This record gives sequence, C-alpha cells and structure tokens, in this order.
Amino acid sequence: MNAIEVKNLTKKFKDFIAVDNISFQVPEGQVFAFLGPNGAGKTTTIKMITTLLRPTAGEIMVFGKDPQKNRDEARQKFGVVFQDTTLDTDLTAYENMYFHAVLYNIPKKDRKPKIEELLNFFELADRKKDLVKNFSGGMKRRLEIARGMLHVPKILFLDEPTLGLDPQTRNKIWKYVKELKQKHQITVFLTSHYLEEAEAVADQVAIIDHGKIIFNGTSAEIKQQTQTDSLEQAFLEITGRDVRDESASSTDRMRQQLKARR
Amino acid sequence: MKHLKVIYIIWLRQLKRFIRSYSRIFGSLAQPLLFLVALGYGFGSIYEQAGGGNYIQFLAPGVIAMTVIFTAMFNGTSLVFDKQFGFVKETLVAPVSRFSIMFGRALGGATVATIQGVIVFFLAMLFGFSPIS
Repeated sequence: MNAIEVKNLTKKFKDFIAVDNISFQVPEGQVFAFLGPNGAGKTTTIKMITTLLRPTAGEIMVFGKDPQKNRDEARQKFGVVFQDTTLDTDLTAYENMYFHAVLYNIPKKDRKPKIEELLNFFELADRKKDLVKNFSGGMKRRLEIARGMLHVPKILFLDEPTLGLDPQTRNKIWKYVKELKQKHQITVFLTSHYLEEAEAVADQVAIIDHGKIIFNGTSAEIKQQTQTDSLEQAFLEITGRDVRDESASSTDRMRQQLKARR
Repeated sequence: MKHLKVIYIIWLRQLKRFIRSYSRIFGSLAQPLLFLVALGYGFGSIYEQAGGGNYIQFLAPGVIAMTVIFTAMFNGTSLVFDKQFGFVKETLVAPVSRFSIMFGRALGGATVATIQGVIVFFLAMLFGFSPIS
C-alpha cells in the first residue's frame, strides 16, 4: 500500500506556479527523499500534504484517504519537522513535549513514560528541565524530531532536518531516523540539500525543479541514467549549475531582524 | 472533552510564558505607575482645588482598565510573533480544531490581562485608592 499518493498536484500563488502538476507515490515503510534547489516547491508540497495549504488542483491520498476531507484523522498520522524551528523557546524541553502530547491526544498515564523514553533516545534527558532558548541548534533539532515521534506517526516529514548542523549531529540524526524507521516501520518523507546523506538513507529519490518533478526513482537509477558517480553530480547534471535567485521575503527579513535583536 | 484539554494546555502555555517573563511583567507596570505618580500627584492638587474631590479615586479605575486593555492587546499581537517564529505551525498540523487553538489563546490572554489588572489595582491602593467609598 502507498503511504502517500499524489496525482497531478498543482499549487498556484496568484500568477506564480509553485508546484506544477506533480505525481508520485511513496510506498509504506520507505524513506523517500524529495530533493531540489532552493525554491523548487519542496516545502509547498509538504505543506499541502500536511493540510497546511490547500492544493489548487490535483489529488493527495494518504493511506488511501484524502487528508483534506478528514483532516484530524490525517494529522494524527503525521509527524512533521519543519525547516525552521517550531519549538516554544520559553518552555522547557519537557513542557514542549507535554504540550505536543496533549495536542495529539496521548492518554495521560502514557505521557510521562513516552516523553522520558524519547528524550533518552535522543540523548536530551539530562536537559529536559532547561528552557529551549538555551539549547544549541543541534539539540533543538533533536528535540523537534523527538517531539514529532511522540505520537508514533505513520509518516514522518523531515524538511531539511540537518540544515546548519555540524557533521556529528547530522550523522546522529540520520542514525536516529534509521533506527526509528526500523523500530516503528514508519514512512519517512524528507528533503535535504546534503545529497550524500540523502543517498545513504533514502530508498527512493525524486528531484523537483521549478515545481516539476524531473526524476523519480532510486539513486542507482538516476546515476545510471545521467552516467555520474554520485547523486550530487547527477543532481547538478539534471537541475543545471545556475544559482537560484531567491529573493528574501518580508517574513525572512523580519525574522532576521528579530534574531539579531535577541 | 478533548477540546477542553487542548484549550487548557494552550491557556497554560500562555500563563507559563507570562510568569517566566519578569521583565515583561515589570515593564508593563511602568506605564500605569507613571500615570499614577505623575498625573496622580501632578494634577491631584489642581483637581481638588477645582472641587473635583480626590483625584486618585477618579484616575485609578481608568489606569487599571487601560492596563487590562494593553496587556490583552499585547497578548493578541504575540500570535503574530508565534507565527513568525513557527510555533503556530506546531498547533496547526496537530489534530485539533482551529477554534480550540484560538479560544485557548484568547482565554490565556484574558487571564494574563486580568492578573496584570489586579496587580495595578493593588498598586493603586498603595497610592491611596480605596475602592470602597
């Protein structure tokens, strides 16, 4: 059975077509890497699947059901780790987890043991009473993935989970992801710019550019097709070597200003 | 039942954030304090000479109401900050109704504003405001 099935999905923002008629399937229990240059439409696609955005056209099926029709049921199956942190920095690690546990309707007696278990797994147990604002980038990321796993989702979305982290933490995060996948048979939908990592962890790869999927298959297939040795070379071969001009939106600018002030 | 739990936890979050931000609590007390001191003592004598009676008695309820309004407004705008910093997304992808998210926040903001109002109320009493005439 396919965990995610997308057919002719399109998203338009006024005149701009962010996602242009894409179709793909993610079989259950696989790691699916969704790759593409900045601004290719990766995050928009994730937002549409996770019910944060409504598609302009096309169909999304999650385990055979349309997430837009029965949103809460679909949302319960998702664990989402967004590109930028969504933790409350004025709460402690434990409180962030507890908040999540209540939102996802985890029975009261299970909350504490489950949170402890995950914090242990992600090696954050000794810092659970610290405010998140005192955490390093890597710890925040780990906490966020731990939180995303708390309600044992069927599909884990990781939008650039290793962005801006040191090699140690990046390796660790992929190790966790692999372990979690084996332990709970979850499907993982990830995006990343670190193609070596994506290659190592993914069962299937799709490359998206300018809103269109230009390749879908295994990384061995793509290398064969482009006659290159690594996924990174194949990626450059397919998407071209131009640097993407991504104008910073007003939101980004505001965020930067606020970060500078803190 | 589930809605109540969600509303409660969002309310609790607002409250925890409020209690932890000492600077904000004291900062937001500065303005009412200024009004009570500067206007209270400054205009007090003129007001009394004009036959208006005790000026603090007249001023304090207004200052308290203003504190409640401003704190509530600040809590409303904090939604914008949460949106910029992404925390709103965490609640939006969760299987909870949008109504409970909004209601929890509104309730949290209202509680925080009420607490601030009560603090200013007792502060005003220090300056000679007596609610029972």
